[in-house]
Amino acid sequence: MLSAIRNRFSRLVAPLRERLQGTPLLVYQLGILGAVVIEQWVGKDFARTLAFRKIPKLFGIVDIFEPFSNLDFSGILGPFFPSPSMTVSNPVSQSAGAIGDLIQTFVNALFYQGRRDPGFFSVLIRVVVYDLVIYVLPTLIIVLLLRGVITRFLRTLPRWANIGIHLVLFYLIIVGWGGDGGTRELVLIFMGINIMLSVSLNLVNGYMGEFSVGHAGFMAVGAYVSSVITMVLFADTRVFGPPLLPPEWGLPFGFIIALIAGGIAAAIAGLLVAFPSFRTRGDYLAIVTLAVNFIVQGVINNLEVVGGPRGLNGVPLWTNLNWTLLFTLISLGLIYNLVNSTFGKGIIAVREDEIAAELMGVNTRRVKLVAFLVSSFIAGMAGGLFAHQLAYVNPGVFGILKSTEVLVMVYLGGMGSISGSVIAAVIFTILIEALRPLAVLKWVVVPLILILLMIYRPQGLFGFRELNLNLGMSRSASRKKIVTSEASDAITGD
Amino acid sequence: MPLLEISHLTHYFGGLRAVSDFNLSLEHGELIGLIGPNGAGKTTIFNLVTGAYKASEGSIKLEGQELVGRSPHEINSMGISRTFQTIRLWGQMTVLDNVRVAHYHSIRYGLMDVFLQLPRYQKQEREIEEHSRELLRLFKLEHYAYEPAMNLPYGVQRRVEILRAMGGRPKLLLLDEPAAGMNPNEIGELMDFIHWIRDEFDLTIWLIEHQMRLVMNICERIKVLDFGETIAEGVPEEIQNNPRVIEAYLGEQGEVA
Amino acid sequence: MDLNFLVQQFLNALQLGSLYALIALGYTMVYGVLLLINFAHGDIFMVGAFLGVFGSMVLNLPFVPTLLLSMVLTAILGVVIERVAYKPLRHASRLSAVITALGVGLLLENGMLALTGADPRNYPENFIVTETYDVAGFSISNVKILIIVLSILLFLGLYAIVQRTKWGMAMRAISYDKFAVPLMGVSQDQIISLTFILGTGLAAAAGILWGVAFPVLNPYMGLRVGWKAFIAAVVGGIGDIRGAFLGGLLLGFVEIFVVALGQPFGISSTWRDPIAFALLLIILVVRPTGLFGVARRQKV
Ligand SMILES: Nc1ncnc2c1ncn2[C@@H]1O[C@H](COP(=O)(O)OP(=O)(O)OP(=O)(O)O)[C@@H](O)[C@H]1O
Ligand SMILES: [Mg+2]
Repeated sequence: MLSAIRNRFSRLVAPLRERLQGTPLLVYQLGILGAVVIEQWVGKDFARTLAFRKIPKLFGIVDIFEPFSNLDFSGILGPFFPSPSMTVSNPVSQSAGAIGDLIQTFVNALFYQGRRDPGFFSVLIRVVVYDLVIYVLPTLIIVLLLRGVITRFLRTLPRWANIGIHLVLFYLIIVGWGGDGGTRELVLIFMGINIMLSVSLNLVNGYMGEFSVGHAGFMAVGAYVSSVITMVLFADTRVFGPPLLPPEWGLPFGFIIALIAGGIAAAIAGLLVAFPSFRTRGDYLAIVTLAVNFIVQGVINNLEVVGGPRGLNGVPLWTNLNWTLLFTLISLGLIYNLVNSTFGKGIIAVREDEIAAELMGVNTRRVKLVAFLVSSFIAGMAGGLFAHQLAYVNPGVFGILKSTEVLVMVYLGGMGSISGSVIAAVIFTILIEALRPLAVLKWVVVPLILILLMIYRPQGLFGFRELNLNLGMSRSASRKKIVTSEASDAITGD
Repeated sequence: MPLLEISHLTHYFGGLRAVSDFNLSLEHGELIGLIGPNGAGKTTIFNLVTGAYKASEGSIKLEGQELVGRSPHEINSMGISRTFQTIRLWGQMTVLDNVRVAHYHSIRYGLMDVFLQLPRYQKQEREIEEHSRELLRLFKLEHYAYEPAMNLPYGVQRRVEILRAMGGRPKLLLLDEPAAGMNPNEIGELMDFIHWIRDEFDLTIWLIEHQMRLVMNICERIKVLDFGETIAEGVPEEIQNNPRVIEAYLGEQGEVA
Repeated sequence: MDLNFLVQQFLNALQLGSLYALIALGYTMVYGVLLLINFAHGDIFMVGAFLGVFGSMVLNLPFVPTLLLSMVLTAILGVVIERVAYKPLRHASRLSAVITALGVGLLLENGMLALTGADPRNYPENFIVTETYDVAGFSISNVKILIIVLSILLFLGLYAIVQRTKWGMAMRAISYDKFAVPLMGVSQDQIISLTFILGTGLAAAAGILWGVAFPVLNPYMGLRVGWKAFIAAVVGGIGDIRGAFLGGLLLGFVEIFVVALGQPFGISSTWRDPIAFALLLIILVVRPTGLFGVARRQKV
């Protein structure tokens, strides 16, 4: 049935697809920018017309799941595994009762649950209407109107202007849509941090073919080191007392230096993995990364100066959208330049056949060292941004669960693909945000996705491929583009 | 000075003496062969010369410089490159990238040059790319430039491996059974090809081969190995008529020639 | 430092170590057969402990039947997991299977949390009545002896199966040569199922014994313990069951004695984990294939 719906839908949009084929990215950017402007202008009123209390958060994805936040599944198996305080006489009937209640709540959540809390379908319909009117239709109209003009205009631009104009529009869209200081900005910031984490882990796990499972450890080092620097130097805190330097020096220079210092500290921790990697590969190296993650966590737990297990409170709240954007783009640039250089191709050669790489002249130790250092450096900077966003860090945050999250992003996006990692981080961040109302269930859904992904699409969304953005450049300008090296159908071939 | 001078080279795997007291002096521009029954220790000698294994005893000198104890990538950068008995291309990488990476030892830029795409980086990358493309053109493989190596037919992969070995601009090229798996036609082409690269790139070539037609036709000098020992050495005619060689090959290849 | 203290610490180390060892055995067996790091194993251990709650609190069974029940049910779960999640990936890349195992682990622990609630559980008072005997001046608790002896017996049983039976031989052969196994008159599927039955059964036993020794059970209990046991298996040389058992014991001794001997020097018990992991890291750097692992040298 699902495929029937999909067929009908694709037949419906086929003519539109045809018309939009070959449309340069810039046109879509303009369309989306238009939608963002329209939302600023009439979004609030329109949302109120649709009986929303506020503008829907993330295209309404969060609002859709909100009605289910009351679901409690713990009664289903709880009676079979009772805690000492629980009295159980007949677990089967208790469980049946709980399931009955659950169904009741679920049905209510679907349709109606009191005057202030609308049901799922009601929210869904209104969210679809809102998204169509505010985002989809304006974007489409602008795209169709400007397509021809912009395509011709783009051909006349030199390369630098082309890239510049794309970046400017990208920035305007991000800030226009998400620079509200609220949920949207928060989500975008976590998105940026997640992009940094997944792309940097992909360098080691995807491009170099190792299996690092302790990325959160490096993040922790970066988070703590940068936090301590900014707190000691620029903030008046209970832990470290009055600042050593005038607080107004903190932004921007202090923050930049602190983040970079955090990255460097994380890179030094990365040596703990890099050196063993000279002799050890594969599963054994995976254990080393795991152990390093535990060691970092354990050491922080024991450092009373930074609060031990209680964590570090009072980190300056300096991370914002602009900083995140800046560091995310820098990280992407670093990794992109690295993996497209001949040196970086050496990293891929190590993955493909390390012995052959060494015999053909690749200094495999150096290559591994660089890959681990760059990877942990970026993870450390991401940790710094993370800490200065939350104002509070504790060692528990940087455990195996966090590392697993990053792994999920890398393998969702696909190994050896920067664009895959970026898109996966975006999807993952939104997914986590959307599932937030479901509490524990969120962490049931995420691994389920992972398992299904591995069974049905083990190469991830973009395994060993890159998304090709249509920048609409003329031939002579785009000829210089560095050719993506990896097999376009290496994986899909089998 | 000889290009390559090997003296008293000996190697043990545990108790097994895989190579014993091997000696060779190789002059610039020579094309010589190394033959012997399966398990004789031929590949092991290549592995010792290229640094994949560290020799138990003896010395290997390239233009007077000792190689024993150096790492493989260092030896490669000094001018020795090789192919493998079983193809070891980097399968998911394109042919062009395979060749590019073989230029690794000529890289003089640092990480910062990469990150910031400084002129130094751009210039060297351009040179590497140009040299790689030039090689592809010379080898008539340019239409495979963007193919992942693993998608190529077997014969082409063999040629790409030689191409990759040429990326590092070696002085000495070691070919480990270049004709393995080829039919007589292809072997004929390969012989011309080997002559051609030697002249075109002013190379010295040392090859291991079981295909006697190829060895006897193109090698100027041949060494024969059996159980790690050198049992004969000389020009093709001498080898063909050497009773010890014939004995070593009995039950192995059937006959020599 | 008095002798009694040392004896107590020795027993504690043996107890903790043998629990790690029981879990490590499951990791190492699955690895030996499938070359798969079964990251879900720690959570299977948790399920085993929870099934102990079911047996003792709901069915009111005494210790031994509860143990057996939990081992059987957990073994079934293990086989089901293998069939549903790992088998489809047997011919895919090894990495996909490892990632899937990570996912299965998360699913088990969070599924358990979602379906049963977050309250900590423990076994009833009369499950094992703790008694302390006085042996030659040392006080020795029956729980510790039970755990140590039972673990060693289970290990010996497993060792006998692996070394002496046709099945065990096939199990050892399979990681070297998949195609030889059918020649021995057993199918690959049977061997894999048997491996999961034995491994998860031992994990369940470890779960219940853990719950007896450290009576706080929660859905995340398998996380840390599981990873640690895994590291123990690797230190022993993954794929070798003697190595796994020794690795487990070693980890137990390191953890207990770091604290016991470190106390006078101001090393608090919270340093236990980082020091234990650092030691294991050093072992791996010095002997990259673990204590019993054989390096399979790459031929060029
Ligand atoms: N890494 C190694 N460890 C142990 N023994 C080895 C190793 N490499 C080679 N050998 C042994 O050394 C001997 C020589 O092997 P080698 O590969 O050099 O033979 P070869 O002459 O190249 O034979 P072929 O014609 O089959 O390629 C063989 O007995 C082989 O089993
Ligand atoms: Mg050989």
